[in-house]
Amino acid sequence: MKSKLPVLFALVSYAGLAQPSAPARAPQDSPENHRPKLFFREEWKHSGIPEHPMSQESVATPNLEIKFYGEKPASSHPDGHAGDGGIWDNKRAQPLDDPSHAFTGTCNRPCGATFRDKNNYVDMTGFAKIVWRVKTEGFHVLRPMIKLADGTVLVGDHSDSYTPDWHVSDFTLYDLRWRRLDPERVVTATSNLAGWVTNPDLTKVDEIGFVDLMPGSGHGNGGWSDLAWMEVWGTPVKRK
Amino acid sequence: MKAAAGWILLGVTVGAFGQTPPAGRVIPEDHRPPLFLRETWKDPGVQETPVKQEHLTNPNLELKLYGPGSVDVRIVHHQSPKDDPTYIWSGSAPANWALTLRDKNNYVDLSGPVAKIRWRTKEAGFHLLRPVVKLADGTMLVGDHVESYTADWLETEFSLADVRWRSLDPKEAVETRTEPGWKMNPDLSRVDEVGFTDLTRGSGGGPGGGSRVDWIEVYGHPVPRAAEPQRR
Repeated sequence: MKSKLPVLFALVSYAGLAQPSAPARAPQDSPENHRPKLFFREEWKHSGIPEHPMSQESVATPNLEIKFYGEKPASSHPDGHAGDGGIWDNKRAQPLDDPSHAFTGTCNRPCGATFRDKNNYVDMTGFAKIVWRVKTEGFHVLRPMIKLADGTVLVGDHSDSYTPDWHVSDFTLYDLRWRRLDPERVVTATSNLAGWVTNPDLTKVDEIGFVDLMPGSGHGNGGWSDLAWMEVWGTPVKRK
Repeated sequence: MKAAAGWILLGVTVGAFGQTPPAGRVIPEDHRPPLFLRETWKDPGVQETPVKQEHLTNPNLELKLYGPGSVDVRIVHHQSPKDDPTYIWSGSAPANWALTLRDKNNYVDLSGPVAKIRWRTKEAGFHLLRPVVKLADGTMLVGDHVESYTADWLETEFSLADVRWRSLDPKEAVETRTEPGWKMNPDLSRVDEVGFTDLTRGSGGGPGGGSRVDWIEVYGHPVPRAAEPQRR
């Protein structure tokens, strides 16, 4: 009996190995194989005036409309700063590599801006992402802001905070948690609209941009957010 | 020989652990500062009302409010939940604000590695609560320690030695535009006021966005104001 055990073991092992193989599975098609393309890149069309209120004229991409939230860009005192407000369009002579950029230091109240493609919504699901080049000062943090096709305005929990120099930041919207934004006052929405928005429908995003939820410190280097350029990587969805 | 080696090892080990610090060396942990102030706020008797001096429980403290216009920071106490504390709430603030407490008789020495702040807070939305100090020379600073959103009340404790500071403009309650950058190694040996800010406005009524502070404790050595050098 003892001498037959190895033979039996060998037969069982062979039978196991000889089982008909399962049908070959098709190679897995990873989401990474379908990364969305660049939907837009906006890097501002500067007027040549070093600092002035931002406007549609500041936008380089013809298909994009800019929308301002909160305090609107303004300068009612050409010789001073008393009437300055909202987001400004800056590019100074120094430093030499100063990029054209949006500047929120002039926001006396929280403010943000979004871009709206005239022809398309953008599908920001999956590996859709934002890449931007930013610089913030003081304790300011810059966050993504989106408007969905149903009009819901959201602000995300990704934030870029103080760095001594410009830096590029790249983040996937899939990772973010969102809160509703009150688009008039540019604060996180309250009452029954407060709290996290889980799994918002990002398949048709109408506008996409940035927001700083803190008022700026004014001109100078106290506290603000700067955005030099912004890229949105997502799939266009035709507007009807 | 083996036994002797064991005794030698034991002797060395005991010697190492039994070392005493060189004479005159101060071990900060052996001189932890006492509780300098604790403020828990009086029950306002109504659900919410703008915070005033009369809401302080500690008679030695003065309330200071900073920011543009008439600062609307409130003291709140709800009937429900049952354990709702009396707390400071900034959701009502229409603009930036800062709140500090000033001991009438003493500055507080917050220098050294073990002076600290403890507080019980609850943040809503993306609001970030930060410590504020006013130094004896009038300089106001806001720190990089932050409390962010939590679903429930949270007690935290931090050493001021770990905090990096920026200048705070008390008029607007923003970072001072004319004094940018970090304020390295500020003299915290005579701090006049201690408090907090979130550097932004509130979202209004409800839990949209704002800061809440149930209580604050400051651990530091008192420095009598009477000992202040005479100013000419």
